[in-house]
Amino acid sequence: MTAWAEQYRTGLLNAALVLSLVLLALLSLRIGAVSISTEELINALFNADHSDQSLRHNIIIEQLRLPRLLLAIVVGASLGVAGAALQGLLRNPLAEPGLLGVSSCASLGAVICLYFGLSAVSIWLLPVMAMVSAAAATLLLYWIVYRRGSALALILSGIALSSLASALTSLAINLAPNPTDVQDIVLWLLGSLNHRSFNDLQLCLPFVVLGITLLLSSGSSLDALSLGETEASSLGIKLSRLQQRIILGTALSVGACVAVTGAIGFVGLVVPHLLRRLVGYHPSRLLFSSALGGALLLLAADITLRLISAQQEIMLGVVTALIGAPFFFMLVLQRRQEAL
Amino acid sequence: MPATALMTALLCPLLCLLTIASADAQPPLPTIVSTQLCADHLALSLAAPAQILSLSYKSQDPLRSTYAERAQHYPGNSGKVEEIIALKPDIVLASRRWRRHPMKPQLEALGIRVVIPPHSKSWQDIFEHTQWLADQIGRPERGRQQVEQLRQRLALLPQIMPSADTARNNMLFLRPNGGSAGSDTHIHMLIEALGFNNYASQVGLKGWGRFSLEQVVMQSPDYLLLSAYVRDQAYARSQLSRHPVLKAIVASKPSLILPGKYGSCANWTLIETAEYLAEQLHHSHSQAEQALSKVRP
Repeated sequence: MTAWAEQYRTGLLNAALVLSLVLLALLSLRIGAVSISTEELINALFNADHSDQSLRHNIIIEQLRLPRLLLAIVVGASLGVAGAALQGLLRNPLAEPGLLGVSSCASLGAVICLYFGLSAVSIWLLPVMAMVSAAAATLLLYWIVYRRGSALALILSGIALSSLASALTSLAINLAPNPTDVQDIVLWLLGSLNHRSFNDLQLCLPFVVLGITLLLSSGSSLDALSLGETEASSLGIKLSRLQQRIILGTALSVGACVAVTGAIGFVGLVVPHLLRRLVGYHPSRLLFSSALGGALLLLAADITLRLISAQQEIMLGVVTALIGAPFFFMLVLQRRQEAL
Repeated sequence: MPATALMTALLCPLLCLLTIASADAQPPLPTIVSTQLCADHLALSLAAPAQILSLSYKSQDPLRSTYAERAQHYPGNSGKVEEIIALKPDIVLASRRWRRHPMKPQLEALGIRVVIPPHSKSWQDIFEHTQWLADQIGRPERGRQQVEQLRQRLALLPQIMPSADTARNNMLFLRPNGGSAGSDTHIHMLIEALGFNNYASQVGLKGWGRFSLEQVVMQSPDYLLLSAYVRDQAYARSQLSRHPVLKAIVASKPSLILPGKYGSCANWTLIETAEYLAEQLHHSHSQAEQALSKVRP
């Protein structure tokens, strides 16, 4: 396939993803505890009808459903693009934001806040602690990259950091003074978009935008790296600088998302896998498509949980894994059959 | 001395001796260890002080218990089987979780009876269950007094309510996680005792369930009863209470706060919660009237 045809196909894929995202976004605005028809949705969005009911619909759509929808897109896009960038950087299909320990450290920061009841001091302390922990993990990874510079050292350090953060989180659950605290920590770790407002979006958006920009700007370097480290160096790519940019981008975007929604797994791992073949195995093209795909998957998961949740809300992290895992499994089997 | 007088002189001391002897022969009141907050309140109100060997630590916490000061006079326990065996009570008052507790047969083999206060779904249930528990711990007369007092306080409740507030108004109980209480819950009994209609039960909620923020926006109850239970203050569970839309609704509607130490038990102490809320309503009512009188010409 020629480069032009591949670009055309990637363009078509992105257009399809954008269209699907728009359709899902409209569907998401219609789904909730209160039934709102398409006509009522349009009336409420454009303030066409000034009745009391329309005003209430407007509050539900603009202040309850819209921030949730936008947060799903932002968080999904962050996880998707971070997964694609890390898989490109480490040239390892198992790489994802959780692998570097950034998500686990952000979760640990939040859990420490929950365990010591610091969230009672200020409601902003928990997201701030999560982001500070993600930043601390990033600094440590930076230092390792600075000292050793190899991808293997980065992966191994990430796994060690992630294991340490998970162990400390388990310790907090183990030592929690009462079942309520245990439940609170576990609920938070499962991730949720429920009852999030524009305040949450405002808190994470600057970091996410900065992080995604850093990751998207790594595209051409990742393309060069896909040829091999030596070839990339000969093309003028400084590996340590690329590593630093991707680590910082991941920490900013994923850390900020974890701070607001809790830990949501699987998106960063599964989305680049689903799309890699469709973009002709180009890491640079995969970045933007994965951002769209991540947003689509998370929004689909959020819609699904809203449709199936009855009295007890199903947590988002659970649904992303339930949706993502069978897809991933099918993909692995398909590849296996193709190889045979 | 006439024969009758002689008989009286002989019989009286004999009768006195018999009475004393029979009193001595009465079995002593059973000793009690209570392992659960709501049972602690029942033990404190129904048992003789000497009967109580220990109460749960929760009852000593002023944030969770209205009887914290009285409970602090007794040793605390965390409800562990070892503690119960060491205290050697005749009766252990326990929560419903103890119905299938693996150590229940072992305790009963040691002569410790596990008594689980029944769950009450109506005031009539509360009258009956209070008396039942008083009978179990050997204090039937105290049970009768408690039930009678409860009936009187319940009858007086409408008189201490500001009448304008309750007439045909509805009230929604809302926890910081969106939890609510429909019919067959003690919160429903509480709201009805105050003279309000329980909004959650009116829209079909039975038992404990959830009320989404969208429903609160759409259906707009007249009053909100907001839970401040200690267990509801955890960060992840209280996400709803931080939402700007709910904050705006709470600011625009008359709201009552149910503190953690009130209203978590479906027993006679519910009347104390009702009286506390009635006082809150009175207070807010008089404040509103004072404010109105200032602006009126």
